[in-house]
Amino acid sequence: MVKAARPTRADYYRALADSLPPQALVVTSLGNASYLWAALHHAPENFYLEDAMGLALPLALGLAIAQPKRPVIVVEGDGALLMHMGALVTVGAVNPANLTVLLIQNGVHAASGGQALTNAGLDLAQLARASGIARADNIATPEALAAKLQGSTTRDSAECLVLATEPDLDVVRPPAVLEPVSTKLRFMTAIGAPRYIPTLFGGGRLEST
Amino acid sequence: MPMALLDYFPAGAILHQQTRADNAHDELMLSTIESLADKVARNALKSAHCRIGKRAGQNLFSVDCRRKRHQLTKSRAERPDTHRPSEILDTLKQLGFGAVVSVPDGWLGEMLVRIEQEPTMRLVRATHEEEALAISCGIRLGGVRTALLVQNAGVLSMGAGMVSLAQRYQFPLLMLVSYRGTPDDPVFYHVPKGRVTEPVFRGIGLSYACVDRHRPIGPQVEQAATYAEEASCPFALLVSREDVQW
Repeated sequence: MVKAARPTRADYYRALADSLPPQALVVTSLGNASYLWAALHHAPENFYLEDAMGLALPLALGLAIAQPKRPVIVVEGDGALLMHMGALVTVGAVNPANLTVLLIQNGVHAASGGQALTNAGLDLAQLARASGIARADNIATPEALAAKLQGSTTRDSAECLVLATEPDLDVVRPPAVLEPVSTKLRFMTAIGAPRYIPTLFGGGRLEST
Repeated sequence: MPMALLDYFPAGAILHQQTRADNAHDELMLSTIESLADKVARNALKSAHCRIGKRAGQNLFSVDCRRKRHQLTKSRAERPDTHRPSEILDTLKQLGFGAVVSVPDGWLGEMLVRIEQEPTMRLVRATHEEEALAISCGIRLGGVRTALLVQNAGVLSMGAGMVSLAQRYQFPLLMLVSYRGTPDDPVFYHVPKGRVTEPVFRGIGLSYACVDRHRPIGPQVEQAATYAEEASCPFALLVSREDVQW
């Protein structure tokens, strides 16, 4: 729930950077969710979304399915979640144990200038539980987030942590241009994803190199 | 141009060369002749569409697939020698597809059940087609070949994700799209969706082809999948009822 005196996104991100599980893959939503994470903790195992609002969560779900041995952490905003709330139901249905959903609940559309949400006061943790994600909690401090992340290695289902956050409307300048195809190829190379090997007349396959 | 991709030699013509050298059976020769006749009919129709389109000032290609589907002779289609949905499933397995993401419709439902029973494939049932698109991108990002099975209406509602995610990041995705609202689709309320499907595909830059019901479906799926990988983009194969309804 959104309350007064909330931590900033940067406070949570520093806790996340210090508590990242080994081999973690991080998917970030549009706006400062990506720009600030790139500024604080750029790594090849980060997949930054720009635009494509509401699609970070389902993309991360797919990634968690394809990479079941690696922890996948997705940072999604409350506005983006409301745009594709059905994705929460799909996460609950698939329930991959390696997926951690961090929901930045700041009550506004921060990436587009701070416009009010349709409903800023929802209990998103309760919504996640109702969607089938049994492990869902509202988080109010970076320390609580760190404790949750450190205890997340042994669980058997997906987890959703709702981070009460102060809105950050000033756009962070990322350390480099987040060119989309480079981001994708860098990420796939870092995780050793199989590559498509073409053949002269079609019928190529994905093969590990 | 996407339509040209699947317009190779008809299967029957290739068969003709092989079987003549081997004193082929008469039935195979008959099949070849029928196939060539179909090809001639298709070309005649295509030419007619061009003339009609020029005269009426229409966008020719907006009606191309739908007209052919409706007007071609059904002699081959009425006695299919293979079960086309099985052929699609077998092709996906042979090509190493490890996942299928879908929002079902009436034609796709049973095929999804079959996919669910495949030990080498993972089926994800999404709540919305744009969400399904993003899940597919995520699975492909993780290194698993992925197909998206949706109705054409679902592609109409995934436009933003198509351009801002799948195309911007160049994700190769095979899309098998049930083509509802064609003249041979008996469900009347699909007609408005069928009418705009191909214009919208072209508008959002989605490469696509319509299945040729007179050719085996497996190679057409393989060619579509190959196009997606080699062009690093989604590719939609518009399929009809007999292609996917189990």
